Amino acid sequence: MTTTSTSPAVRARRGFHTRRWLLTLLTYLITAVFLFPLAWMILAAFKTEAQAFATPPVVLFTPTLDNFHRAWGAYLPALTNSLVAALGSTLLAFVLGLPAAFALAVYPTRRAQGVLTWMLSTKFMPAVGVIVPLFLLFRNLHLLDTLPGLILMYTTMNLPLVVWMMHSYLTEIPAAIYEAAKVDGASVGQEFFRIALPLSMPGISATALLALIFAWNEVFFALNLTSSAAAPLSVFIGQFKTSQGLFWAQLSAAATLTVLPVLVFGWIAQRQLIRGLSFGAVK
Amino acid sequence: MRRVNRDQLTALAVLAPSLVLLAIFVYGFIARTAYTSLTDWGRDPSQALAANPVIRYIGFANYKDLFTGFLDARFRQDLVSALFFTVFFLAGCLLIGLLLALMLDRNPRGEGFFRTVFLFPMSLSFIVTGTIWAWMLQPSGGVNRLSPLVGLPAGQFEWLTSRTSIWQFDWNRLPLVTALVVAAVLVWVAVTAYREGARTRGHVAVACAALLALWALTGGVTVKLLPYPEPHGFNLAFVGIILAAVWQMAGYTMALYLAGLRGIPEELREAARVDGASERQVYTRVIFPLLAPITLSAMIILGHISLKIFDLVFAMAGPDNTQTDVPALLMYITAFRGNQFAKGAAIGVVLLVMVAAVIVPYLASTFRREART
Repeated sequence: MTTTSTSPAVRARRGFHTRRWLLTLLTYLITAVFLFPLAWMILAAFKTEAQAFATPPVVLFTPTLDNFHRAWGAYLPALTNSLVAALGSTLLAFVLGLPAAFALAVYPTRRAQGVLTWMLSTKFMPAVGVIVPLFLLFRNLHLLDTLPGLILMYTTMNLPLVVWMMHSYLTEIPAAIYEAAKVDGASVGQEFFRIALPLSMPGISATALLALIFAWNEVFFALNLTSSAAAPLSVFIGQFKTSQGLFWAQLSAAATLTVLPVLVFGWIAQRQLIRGLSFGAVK
Repeated sequence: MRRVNRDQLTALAVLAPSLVLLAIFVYGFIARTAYTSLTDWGRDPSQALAANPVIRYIGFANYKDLFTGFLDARFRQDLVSALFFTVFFLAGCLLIGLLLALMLDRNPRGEGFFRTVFLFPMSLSFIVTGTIWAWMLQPSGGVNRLSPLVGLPAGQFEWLTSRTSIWQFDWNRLPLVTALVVAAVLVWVAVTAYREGARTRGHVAVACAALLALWALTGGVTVKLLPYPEPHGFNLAFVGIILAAVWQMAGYTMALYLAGLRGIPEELREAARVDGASERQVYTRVIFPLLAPITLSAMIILGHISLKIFDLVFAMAGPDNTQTDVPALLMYITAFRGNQFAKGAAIGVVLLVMVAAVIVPYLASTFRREART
């Protein structure tokens, strides 16, 4: 028997398929919208200045590396500063924060949660609330526009994050392991170096990536505490824009070089990024 | 017993450096800022940068200036701008984030890829995204040139420099408006309290609301902060900045919602369907209420980011574009360009109080929840 009318179930499924197809199309459209700004910038980095300014935009062009060559000279010192500040502050934050997180995780006193929340609260405080005395202190200590000054500030900025994140990783290590080590006569130091450190390596690398990204992207302290000698990439991009506002292709090249490491790191550390930004809102 | 004590000592010893560092660099400096904001440092330009400046305590004069002084209208506009910015930024992020999450939840094919794409703007620095968007939103290029592609005339909107301001209100009405808004919130608190059976809380809230309303109707109508009307509103130049900010943070909201959606067991939806709920009702009656705590968390986290916002505006419009000024930017200009350290500190404190009003209740409730578990 041939039916011209399809059964409700089939119709429902067909409707479902159309809807699903539409949904997929929509997803791709939104993806394009999300990628467009970055793609445009990366494209502009390979254009000549004239092409970058052309309206309507030039889509087909012979890529050139000139912008990268030209931006490179000024970019390199800023890159070095950014690298030193980000790596130095992350390392320092771990040296200070990891033992602290260990102490809070392994010897939980009743106050541990309070200490953690208090540390976390410092992360929310706006930088404008501390910048005036900070600037004056740095001026008096001759730390303005120096890398040690910047590292010190970024360490303070990342420390609560490191303690908070590492505490949650360290509490995941079963207490029985420490108990066993204690029975075998392990000292606190041995517990830390032989058990906690190796077992929390994945957590350490994830947290380190996060701290690196935050230090790499920081602008406010960098802008106020450095000017030229210790200026990291964020300041460099900001100054590039104000001083040479019309060299869009060159600026795009510099900006592309700036976001490249973050794109890679950010892709690896997606989940940590969400977690780090949310502070316990999602686990 | 000795072991425990030594352990505690060790714990204290390794905790101390972190605690001391944070205590000094955050709360110590906040206290110092608060003190500086009560002085006249920078009022006399000759003293501002002196090696040993003469600094006098002048009480709340800086704050009085900021809120009622003739020269500080810019600060008041910045406060209004920050609030409008926060409202639209939050609405945009929550709405788009929720839509993206629902989309990925309904059609999980390729979810990993799409999630990465929606999230990637979050890992970029505001200074870079600001640079890209500033370029895209140029009056003579970029987004304004998209409409000819589909046959429409080119856009004319001056994204970052528009001087149009809408929804203006007189600054003198601020105490009145604040009182009425707070009263409305209190009424809402009272209604929920009565519904939950907490009569005392309800009575107190109603009493406070009534007091506020009474004051608003008697004193509030006539109170004047300034001797002249001073209109402030939503500067349309912010639209572009809001766009960029939503583009950057919508993916984060999506991730929060997606985690929430995944946390809702399928049985719950099935149960609702079995009980005869339509697909729409499954969402409005079951899923959205369960996502409410996530919405609150997202609002608080995004809200404190948007109140503090500095880098995005700095990169997109620069520090001198008064149309797109925000408090953090004004603080930077006042303290470090104008050398008015005390007034800059006062702006910092106002911003701090605003952020704390958002964050402290949230942290306190998180703390209580964590302590209970």
